[in-house]
Amino acid sequence: MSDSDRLSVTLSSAPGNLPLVRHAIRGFLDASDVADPPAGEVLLAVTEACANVVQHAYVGDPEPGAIELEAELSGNRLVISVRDHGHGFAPRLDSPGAGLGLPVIASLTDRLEIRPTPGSGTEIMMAFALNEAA
Amino acid sequence: MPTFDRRTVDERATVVVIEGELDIGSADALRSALDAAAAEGTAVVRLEAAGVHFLDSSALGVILAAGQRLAERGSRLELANATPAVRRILEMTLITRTVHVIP
Repeated sequence: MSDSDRLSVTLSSAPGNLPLVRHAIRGFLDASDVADPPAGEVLLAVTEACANVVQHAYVGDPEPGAIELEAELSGNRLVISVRDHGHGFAPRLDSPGAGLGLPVIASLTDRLEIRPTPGSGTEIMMAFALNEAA
Repeated sequence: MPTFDRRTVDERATVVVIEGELDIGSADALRSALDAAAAEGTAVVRLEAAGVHFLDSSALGVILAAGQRLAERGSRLELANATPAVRRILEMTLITRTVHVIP
C-alpha cells in the first residue's frame, strides 16, 4: 500500500472546518487511480459524519474537540473512518440538524458501522464500493 | 463561505441567489438569508440554486424549516435550477412537499 492510498487528517470540530474536510477528500480521490470515484456520495457521507461530531460529540465542552479522519483505498473499496473523543451521539432537543444525517449516510454507503472508540468517543466507519482501477 | 444575493423581482416573488457550499458551518448564514427574504412578505421566495455545489442535511433542515414557516402564512418556497449535488439529497430524503423544486 502506498502513501497515496491512505489519508489521515485531524482537525478541530469547528463547524467552519467542514469545507476543509471535503477539500482533503477531493484531493485524495483526485490523486488516486480510481476510475470515476463516487465523489459526490463520499463527500456528502463524510460531511454528514463530521456534522454529527460538530453537533453532538463535544456538547458542553469549552472548546471544539478533534475530528480524526482516515481514508484508505484497498482494491475496489474505499473505507473512511470519522472518529472523535467526545461524549457520544445522544439526541439533542436543541439539535440544529434535521435528524437526517445517519439515514443519509446509510443510504450512501455499502457498509456503515458506528461504534465507541477506546476511552471515549465514537467512530463512524463507512465503506464505498468502487469501480476497478483505470 | 457561500454568498446570498437577495432580489425582489416583483411584488409576488423574492429571489435569493446562492453561490457556494451549504453545510452546518453556513447554516446560520443561510437561515438569516431566508428569514430576510421571508420578511419581504412576497407570496413566493425562490432560491436560485444553480451555484450550489454542495448541500448537506443541516442546510436542508434550514431550508425545510423556512418552507414550513412560509407555508403557514400561505406563501411558498421554491428551489430553482438545483445542481446534481442538491438533487441527490432532495431525492434521497423525498422532500418535495415543503419545497417546490423547479427544473
